[in-house]
Amino acid sequence: MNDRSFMLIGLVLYLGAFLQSLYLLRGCGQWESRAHGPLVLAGWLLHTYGLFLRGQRLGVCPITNLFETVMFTAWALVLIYMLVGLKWRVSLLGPFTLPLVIALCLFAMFPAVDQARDKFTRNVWLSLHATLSLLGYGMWALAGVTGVMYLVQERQLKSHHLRSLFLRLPPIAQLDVINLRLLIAGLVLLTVGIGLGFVVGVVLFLKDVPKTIWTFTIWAVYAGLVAVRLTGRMRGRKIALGSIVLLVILLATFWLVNLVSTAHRF
Amino acid sequence: MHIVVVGLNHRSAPVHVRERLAFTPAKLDFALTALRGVPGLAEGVIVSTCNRVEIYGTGQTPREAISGIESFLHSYHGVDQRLEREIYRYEEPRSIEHLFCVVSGLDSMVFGETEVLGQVKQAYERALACKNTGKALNQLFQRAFQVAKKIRSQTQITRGSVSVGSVAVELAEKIFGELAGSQVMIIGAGDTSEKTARSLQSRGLRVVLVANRTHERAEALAAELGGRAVRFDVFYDELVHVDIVISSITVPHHVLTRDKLEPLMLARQNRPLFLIDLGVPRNIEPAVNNLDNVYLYNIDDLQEIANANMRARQEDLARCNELVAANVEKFREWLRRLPPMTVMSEE
Repeated sequence: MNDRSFMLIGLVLYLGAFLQSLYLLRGCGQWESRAHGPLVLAGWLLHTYGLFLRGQRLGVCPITNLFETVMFTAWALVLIYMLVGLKWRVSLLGPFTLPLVIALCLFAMFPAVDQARDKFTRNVWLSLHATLSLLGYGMWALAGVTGVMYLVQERQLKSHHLRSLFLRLPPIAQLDVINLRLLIAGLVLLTVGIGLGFVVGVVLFLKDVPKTIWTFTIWAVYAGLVAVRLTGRMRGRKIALGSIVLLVILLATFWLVNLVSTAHRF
Repeated sequence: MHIVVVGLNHRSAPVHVRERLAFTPAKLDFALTALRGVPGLAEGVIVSTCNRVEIYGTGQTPREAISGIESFLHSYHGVDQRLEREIYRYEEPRSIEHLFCVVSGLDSMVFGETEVLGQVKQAYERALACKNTGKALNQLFQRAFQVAKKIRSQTQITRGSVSVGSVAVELAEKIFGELAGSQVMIIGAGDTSEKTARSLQSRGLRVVLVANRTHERAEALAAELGGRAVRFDVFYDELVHVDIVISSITVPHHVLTRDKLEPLMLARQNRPLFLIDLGVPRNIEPAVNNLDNVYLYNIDDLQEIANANMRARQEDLARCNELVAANVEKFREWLRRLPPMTVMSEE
């Protein structure tokens, strides 16, 4: 079995955990079985092993092409989801996160996406720059997921129509706080990531105009969102909506920018 | 060995009869010891709550056990008159089915409530500690607790609140999470507001402000709730710090309007505000619900949610009955294999 096979089995386990959650959510009992956590963990461990094998073969962190980059982001997303779920016991975070993880993995699994690169950097600092940036995107992706959960719960509270999801979803105050923390964590990681990239590869940085503009624009918009939330000028629904819209923009433009990028072409 | 139950509940007997036959917690051990002397009874557990008094027992002949328990109930409480209609007497399989229904909340005044499970557990533990139980009742009660757990996890009968006060608490918890750090303001010192505030206090909410047109009444209610009275003409200034407002004042106009709340939300840094309008005519302009982070519920909204939750609970009754019936049959199979036991008075 090669690295892709392990990642594919991991994807199947994520899918199994998600379908099981959907099935349980249709019923009136508990939505989460005892098998849900172990299924996701097993999927993530296989995902990790697949990435490890790929990294071992390349001799660097496996983020040299679009397949690896997307699989790494999905891997980070599951890791952050498990840590957040463990720390704050956020009910239903799994069924809301797994569709995004599965979509990312399915996209990456298209053979055309996994094109081997002839040249890629072996500079440790540049690898760290990319890794931290992708972890930051993972944080923002989960912020988008908690934003969706917030909107679903808030819609029920506003409309006075409380469906079965109402009791199972966390309080909106908790979702709002977790969303903010994820936005801040993503911002910090991306700031350090960009900073490293700028210090280590300043020439490449300045030459790669489209990627540089894109990165700074995304960073600035997220920073603005965090600022208005911290000052209390916006809170709740608008921040949740902002997290989702920015995530959609991020996902839609990330690969487009890579197509026109020089130093960041995956 | 046969299992029987003799008792009365909120449906069979009015409160003045139930209270006459109730066993106080302080004297329960004494009553359990006295129960041992009942002829024909091998084991016995006394369940006494505000809505029911029941004695579960086992005996070789069900009629003798029932008659013994009934005589005990009358003589222990000094009741001369025979309570023919108020007391129910069940033999198997109904006695087993009844316990399974009681612990699952299917026989409760508030259908599906879970408090009764804890009360029956306590009653069983007291009987166990007094050595009033043997193999049959030990197994029966353990099975009953398992059935209650199964019904709770596999059906909707414990889901959602079914009273106005508890719906308000549930909504507050879904907005704020923990209520311990939240502040509530009561506008109008009415009975419903007080009950709702007390429900919130029972979930950890501490700070209560009371505003009323008659300031003395506000002070009196604030003292009762351990809160602080606020002058009615300045209550608006306090809303910046408050998380939940319960309003039940009789006024011809709205005391809170969208125009007033909009700038207030900025001053509150858009922290969520839960408004409970119990007044008729309504005290709060409905349009405030369109403001971000403001959640407005009036008395009809709360009642409708409570009714919907009750309907959802009752729709699952058939499923609950199936679970109970299946478990009654399983337990009876086990009971048939049990060797005869001595009566408590012979031990």
